[in-house]
Amino acid sequence: MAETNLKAVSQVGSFPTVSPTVRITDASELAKVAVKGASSTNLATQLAAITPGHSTMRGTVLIGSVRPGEWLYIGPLDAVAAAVADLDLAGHTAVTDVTHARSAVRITGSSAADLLARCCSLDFADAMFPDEATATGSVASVRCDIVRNDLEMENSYLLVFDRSYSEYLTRILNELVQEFAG
Amino acid sequence: MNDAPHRLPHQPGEVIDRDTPVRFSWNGRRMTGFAGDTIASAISSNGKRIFSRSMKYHRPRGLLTADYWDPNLFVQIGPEPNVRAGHRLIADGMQVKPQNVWPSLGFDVKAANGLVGRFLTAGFYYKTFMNPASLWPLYEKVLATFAPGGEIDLDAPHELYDQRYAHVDVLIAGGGPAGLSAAVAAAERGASVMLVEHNHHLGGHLRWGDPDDLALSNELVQAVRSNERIEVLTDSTVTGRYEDNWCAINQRTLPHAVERLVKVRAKSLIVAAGLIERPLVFEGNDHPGVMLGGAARRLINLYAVKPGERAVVLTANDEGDKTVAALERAGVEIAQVVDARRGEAVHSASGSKGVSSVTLGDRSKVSADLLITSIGWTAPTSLLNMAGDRPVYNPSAARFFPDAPPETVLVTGGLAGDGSVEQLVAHGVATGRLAADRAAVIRYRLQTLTPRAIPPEGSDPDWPADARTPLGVDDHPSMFRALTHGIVDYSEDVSSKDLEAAADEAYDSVELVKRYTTATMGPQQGKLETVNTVAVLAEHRGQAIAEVGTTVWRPPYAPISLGALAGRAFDPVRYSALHRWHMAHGGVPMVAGQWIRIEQYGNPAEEVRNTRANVGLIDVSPLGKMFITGPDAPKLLEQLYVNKWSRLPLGGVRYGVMVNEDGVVMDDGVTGRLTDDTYLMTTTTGGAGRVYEWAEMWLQTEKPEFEVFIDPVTAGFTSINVAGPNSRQLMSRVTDGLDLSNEAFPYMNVRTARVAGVSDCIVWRIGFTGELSYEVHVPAGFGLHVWEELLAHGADLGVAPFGVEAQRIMRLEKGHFIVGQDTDGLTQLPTTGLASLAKLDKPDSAGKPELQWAIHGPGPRAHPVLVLLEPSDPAIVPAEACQIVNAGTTDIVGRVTSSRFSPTLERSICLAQVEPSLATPGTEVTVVLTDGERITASVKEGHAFYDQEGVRTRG
Repeated sequence: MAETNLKAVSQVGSFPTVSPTVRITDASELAKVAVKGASSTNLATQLAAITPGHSTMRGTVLIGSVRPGEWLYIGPLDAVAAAVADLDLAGHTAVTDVTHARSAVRITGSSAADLLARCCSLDFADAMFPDEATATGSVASVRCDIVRNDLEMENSYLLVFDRSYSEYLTRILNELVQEFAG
Repeated sequence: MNDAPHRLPHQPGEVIDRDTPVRFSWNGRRMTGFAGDTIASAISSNGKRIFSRSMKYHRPRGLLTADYWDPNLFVQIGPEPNVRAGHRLIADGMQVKPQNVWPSLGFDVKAANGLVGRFLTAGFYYKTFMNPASLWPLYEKVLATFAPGGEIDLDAPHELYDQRYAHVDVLIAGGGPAGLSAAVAAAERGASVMLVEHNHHLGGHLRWGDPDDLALSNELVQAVRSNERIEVLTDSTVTGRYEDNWCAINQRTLPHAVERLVKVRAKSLIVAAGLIERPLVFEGNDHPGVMLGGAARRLINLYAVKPGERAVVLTANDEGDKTVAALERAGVEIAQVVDARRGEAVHSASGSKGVSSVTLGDRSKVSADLLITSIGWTAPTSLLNMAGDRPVYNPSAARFFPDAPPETVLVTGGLAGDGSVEQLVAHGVATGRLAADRAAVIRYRLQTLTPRAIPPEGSDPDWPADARTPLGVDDHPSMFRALTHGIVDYSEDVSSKDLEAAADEAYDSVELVKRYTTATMGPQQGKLETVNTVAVLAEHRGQAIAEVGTTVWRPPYAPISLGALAGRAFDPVRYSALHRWHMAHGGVPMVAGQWIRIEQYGNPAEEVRNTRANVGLIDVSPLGKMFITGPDAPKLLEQLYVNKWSRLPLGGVRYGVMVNEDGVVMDDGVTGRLTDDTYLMTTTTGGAGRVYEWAEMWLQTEKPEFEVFIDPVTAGFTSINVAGPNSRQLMSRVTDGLDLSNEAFPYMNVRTARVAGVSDCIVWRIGFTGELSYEVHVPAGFGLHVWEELLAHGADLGVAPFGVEAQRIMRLEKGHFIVGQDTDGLTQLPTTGLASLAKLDKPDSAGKPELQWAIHGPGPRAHPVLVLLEPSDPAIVPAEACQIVNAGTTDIVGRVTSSRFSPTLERSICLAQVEPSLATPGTEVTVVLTDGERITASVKEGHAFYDQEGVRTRG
């Protein structure tokens, strides 16, 4: 994680509020760290409770198992750094700061799943994609790690994706949300 | 106000809004209809009978079904051709025109085709327009003149077509009484339901039925609308059913889009498509005024339109009897009821521009302007066919029935059998419950199998058996062709005589007859024609319909627009973190795969000169970048690259080439060692994704024992190449504590450093331009800051940005090849002159066996050779891909792969692949320019046009 007093510039654009049932916000300022560990490592044991397809909040840090043997830490910079510092990285493990490599967008509201259904083929029904569920899927043909991370009883989905698609996904999501305009 | 002459007083089930008149024009004449009218009902209410001309003979055509399936109601609305006037609702200001008529709908010269109709039989086109082949351009013009359909406006504005995904427990195709009751029953069982209705309104045939039917329809629709578990899509068609109930729905009439393709994964599919009334084949059956019973009832009951003045009604069932009642109520004089159940028949209809008389089976003539037929049904089993079912013909009912569809595809309504409305509703309820119960089992299993899902409660439920009481099957007269011949396929103008002629020509299989005559291949997709086609063929061959069989219905159920199939265009585009800066400073964008890069800032030649003289900056962020981490990273690199990596020192950088299993060059780049176990690999911009997949494939399938992780981080770094003789000085102004001297940081090395206050930057001493250069990889969020700092600190050094074009010129001056530009899908390593890079003494590497063969294999291998080429005329720049030929011949012996005018050398320069015999320096070759002119060019010695010794690069 780059140390500087500069503020990192997000490539995600703005999302004017047009709908009473769904809102989109840029969450790119959150630190994002990919943690990988072979199944035989202490790291894997430490994180064994977070199984593929699931996530959990530890304090302010969201930890999602996005692929077998790979966890994504998302949260405020200091909190993520502290959480990663607690990990036992002995053996075949790797920690990669992807804060700058990936952007993040949060989609919140009662129509959030309907909005996602306009551009993603996953089943977002509560039973199939409950709070704390994670998946990797194509959103408007861009690979995204998707974490359901409800906020105050509201459906909320965090999309984490390659930074270079930020402008494109901003445009697409702003187009799609028009259907839900109030 | 509406004074349309055929508009009836208020009807109980009418769907028009008499308070909202709609003004439109038809064939140039102003008319008025009501909101809720279809185009056809509005025109018909104004007393018009002719809507179109037939495809081949240009015979006048009128209402036949008065709904979506009407083959005679295709019209043009503005730039939109082939609009179904029986379905599309009229709108204010709509300008509706007939299609493919000249000079007018009333008098169409092409109707002369009818005079030679006996020569235009099946296969006419195939037989007539084949020989001589030299006349095909003429034939093409003739056929285009007579081609049916409307006119396409290529300048019509692009409109939005949308798409959407849905996952439902129960998908129901058809919103008639059975479909509606199934929807409610399934929803009450806890299922999520999507109900899809082809028409604008729910209710099916109840809508044009008697008061009891209307009351029931309203009750069912109300139950559906008030159930939150049911999503209703009207004016939508389940157009395809694929594996595991992956269904496609074409949704029309959306506020924000023209159409939408809904891709649905349904746990259970209920097919409740109802029955489609079938025409009878007889002489004159396509005259305006001949229509189906359902059409007459829809006109009267839904749109309050009087279909004619005096009618003959041919009936073989209750629906025909109800039509008689409806006509009488509308004030239509019933001239004759011909009851087929009593053996009565119709012989023919005659008239010039519409029916004026009907000849009955006993040859008596009845004066009438309407001939209504209600003689049976087509079972639209398309979705069942798509599910693998092969419907079976039941002769006593004179229609097809489902055989054995998959257990997740259930059938109800008229497709499943006959019965009273109450019986149909009961069957729908049972079907809805069964579909919901089966969906629940599938849902249980999906939740069990999907790790992220909520684990289901209880034990694995049993698969529900089908305990529904089957619907009955009523006897129905078999009526397909009357005593005379007539039209079978209205869209294609195929008659029963055509079908018989085809059979006589040995096209005796129904599938062959279909293709030879094009019967059933029109926009109705066989909904009106298939059964009659089969029946005519069976009659002619003296066989039973079941023996003849039927054609197979494939997707789509109904024609679908290409726009809907394409859906919303999701074409991802990638931008660098500096893109906005580039655009604000005169950058000209260009497409590079998914990336948008900057080609130039106004003058590429000047950008080259400045970089060669001072210092230039280029945004090379799209360059592929991957962290390769772990103790076995060198082993993976050795596996992927042709050269060796085990001894790369810390901070060292090495160039590597990758080949695929055929020894063909697939990518190249440099990789640097950042820590003991961490390497950063760079790839070409276009190859980044492919190389990542390639590396993961080797790691996961061939070398799973390697302890290595790969992390693609291309967009994580803004990559800035600082090139030119002043680059070291510029870098020294923005880096902290990094010794940039040649001794401490020589060419082909990499360091981590703080640049312009940003830590964790990676600085490479590499370059592609042939100048002293540094490549700085900055955490992307700070990329703009570092870029601007470099520009600010280098102002006195002559710093200026340069684009991809300048970079390409400079790399060509330096003789660097680009994978994919100077190589192709057959270029093996030796062609590039880098065979010596391959270390074949390694235990293994991708493509090693083929490289062994290519480099050391038995016998000479005539690999093309990549050479520098200088045109004799320094002002001529051959286009890339120009062929190189043997002088005086057309024998191709190579091609120009790259070419530019070099501002540094002030002449044209090229890279070219040539045959080995032409690769000797000084050899003169012939290049064919794009205009055919031939020029000479000579092969130049060495590997660079500029700074052969690499002094500037290493300086």
